[in-house]
Amino acid sequence: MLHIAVASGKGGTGKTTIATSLAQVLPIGKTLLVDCDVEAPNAHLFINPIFTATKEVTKNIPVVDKSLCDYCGLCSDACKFNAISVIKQSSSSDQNILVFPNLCHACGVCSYICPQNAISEKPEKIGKLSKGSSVDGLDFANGELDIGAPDAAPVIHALKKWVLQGNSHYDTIILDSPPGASCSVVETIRGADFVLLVTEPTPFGLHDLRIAIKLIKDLNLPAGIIVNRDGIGNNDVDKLGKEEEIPILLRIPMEREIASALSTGKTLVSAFPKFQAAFKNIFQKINEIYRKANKVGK
Amino acid sequence: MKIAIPTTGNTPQTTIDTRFGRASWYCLVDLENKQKEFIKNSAISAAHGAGVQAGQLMIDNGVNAVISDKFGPNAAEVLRAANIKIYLLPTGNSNQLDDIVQDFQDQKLIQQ
Repeated sequence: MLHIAVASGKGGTGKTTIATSLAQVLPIGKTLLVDCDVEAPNAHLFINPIFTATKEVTKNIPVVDKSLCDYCGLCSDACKFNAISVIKQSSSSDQNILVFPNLCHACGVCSYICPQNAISEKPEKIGKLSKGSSVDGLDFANGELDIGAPDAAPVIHALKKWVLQGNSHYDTIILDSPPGASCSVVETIRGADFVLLVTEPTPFGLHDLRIAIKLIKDLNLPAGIIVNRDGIGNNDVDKLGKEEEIPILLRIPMEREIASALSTGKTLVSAFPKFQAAFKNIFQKINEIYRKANKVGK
Repeated sequence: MKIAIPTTGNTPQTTIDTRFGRASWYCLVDLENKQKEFIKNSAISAAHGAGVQAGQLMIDNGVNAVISDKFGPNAAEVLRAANIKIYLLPTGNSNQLDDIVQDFQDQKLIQQ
């Protein structure tokens, strides 16, 4: 099973355009497309899946039993995220302990460390997962972070765990990543076999691509670049690809017809069948690079 | 009574830092003897929850009132829970430490 993550650095470069089209040229029943951009999922708009299963994602928030708490402050000192504050005062009536659920990363250290066993954990809903398939039979899953919930990574973690466990019949899993290079992207590309970096040939695309490349090098993952909106900007992305020894696998030209077709909810390969061969070709190249990187024989 | 004012530096001539949670320093002024003490804000580089940590710093230093321009919601919650009074800097203030202390003593500042 090959896990391909589609990431970018800069937002709006075409990750979902690439992920949805790549998924559509691969064998039905053997391919799963997962939209990991839980803060702004949009791949479903192109795939139109019928969801057949959903699941809630929760995170464990500490709850303090004030009848047991002696306000020693150990929990507050241990919390790396300042999510728990102990107000030690000389008069016992002014003592207090505050929990900030939005800062909590649900690591559990506070309840673990509490000598009075005054801290328990209560699950709080932070998002929702859905899976199903399109009318054509493409298997699809996504996650949605609740409005106001601050941390996307646990929802992505739960999504990957939910769809990947016990689903070894897939040959290829395509993970559509959020933009950027922070926790949520790391959570998405962690465990992937290959990262497709989608960029545009502008100073903005280049700047964020550099950061994304640094991340995938830190994680020691093989990668390839797709240049979207080719023809604008300059050729600095090509130079960077050469320097970093990351091949450019495809160029999609800047064309009004493409933008206009995508804006109606069509995928690139369904609107322009001429791209089908190109996407099959990318998949071949990914397999070659992956095999070379892992020295796996054919 | 001890008041705290977020500042950009740690000398008496320093200017006021308008953000409470991510100020570089705090000047603690003991109003009884006019003693000034500067403490470094250990929360300034916290990725998350700087306001909570800064509020905790006020509690640990026995501060009774804080004066600043902007308080985040978490900082305000910690300060309120600890009964530390929150005062806002007047608009068009001179940005000078001693003037603010004087304004506070003259009860010219508005309590939140």
